[in-house]
Amino acid sequence: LDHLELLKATIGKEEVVQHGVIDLTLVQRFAYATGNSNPIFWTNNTEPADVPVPPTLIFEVNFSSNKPVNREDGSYPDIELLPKKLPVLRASNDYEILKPVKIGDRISVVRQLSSVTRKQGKRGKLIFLDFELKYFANDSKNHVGTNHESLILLEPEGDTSH
Amino acid sequence: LSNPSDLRSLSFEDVGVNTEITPIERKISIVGNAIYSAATWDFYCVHYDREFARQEGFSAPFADGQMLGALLAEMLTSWTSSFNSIKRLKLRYKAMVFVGDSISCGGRVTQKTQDGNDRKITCDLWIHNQRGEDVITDSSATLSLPIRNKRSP
Repeated sequence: LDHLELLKATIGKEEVVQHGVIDLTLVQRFAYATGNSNPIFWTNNTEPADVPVPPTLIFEVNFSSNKPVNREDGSYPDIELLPKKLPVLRASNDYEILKPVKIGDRISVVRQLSSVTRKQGKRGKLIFLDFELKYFANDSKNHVGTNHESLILLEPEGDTSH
Repeated sequence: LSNPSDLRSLSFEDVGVNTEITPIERKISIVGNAIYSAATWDFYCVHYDREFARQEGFSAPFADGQMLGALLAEMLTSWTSSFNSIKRLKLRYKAMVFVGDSISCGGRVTQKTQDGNDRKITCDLWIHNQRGEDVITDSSATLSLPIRNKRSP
């Protein structure tokens, strides 16, 4: 079977792909990494619970997963139905922030594939993957955000099967 | 207010259609990309390994698109002085941002809406590189702002 067909068979199926706790160090490192110089992240006399969580942090951080990072190329085997890791580009993100999260919150990420399409590009075939990722804090009913994400995988010519 | 950062937050009355968002600028570096990879636990080597990026068919390591979202979010939270104002952030990536590029993030208010106590603004967002090229396109944010008389003194 073409791996595209295998991927299509997973459309609409929800899977908990990540989970983890937001802690002060994670927030501080994220703020530093994005060049955020707001002193609120670094004030020693601020209680950790009062340090805000940057609004896009939950969408950008890879929380712990049962599928650990590949030590060779840094990739995640998230899309395990593909025959090998393909170069990936990001097409779009649409973040809906429903509720603020705070330090100490335990985040769960539920992902489902919404659509898969293949198109011909200049440098080979392109696979467009649209995902919906829902974020929950502490409770599976406490929906705090959604990320509609579109990725483009660059598929070499003639490489369409397992 | 539970969040100390909200004490001087921008109010709904402070902005109008066409109000410009205070811009920010960043230079993309290989070390910066590596720090972002470590902070987000996303170690895809194409963002910080020149040889790997070349093997994958790219001219140089490039920034993770989501980092651009973080920069826009920082721009918006700095402008509003509130970490809770952003309700939606839509990003459509148009061009890659390579190591060595400098980018300017900006935006403009395009709409104000009020539905009862719910006051929102919509903003067009943009990021240009040092050549003036659009890095994102059709990107926007929706923010919820307080009314002035609800602000702390």
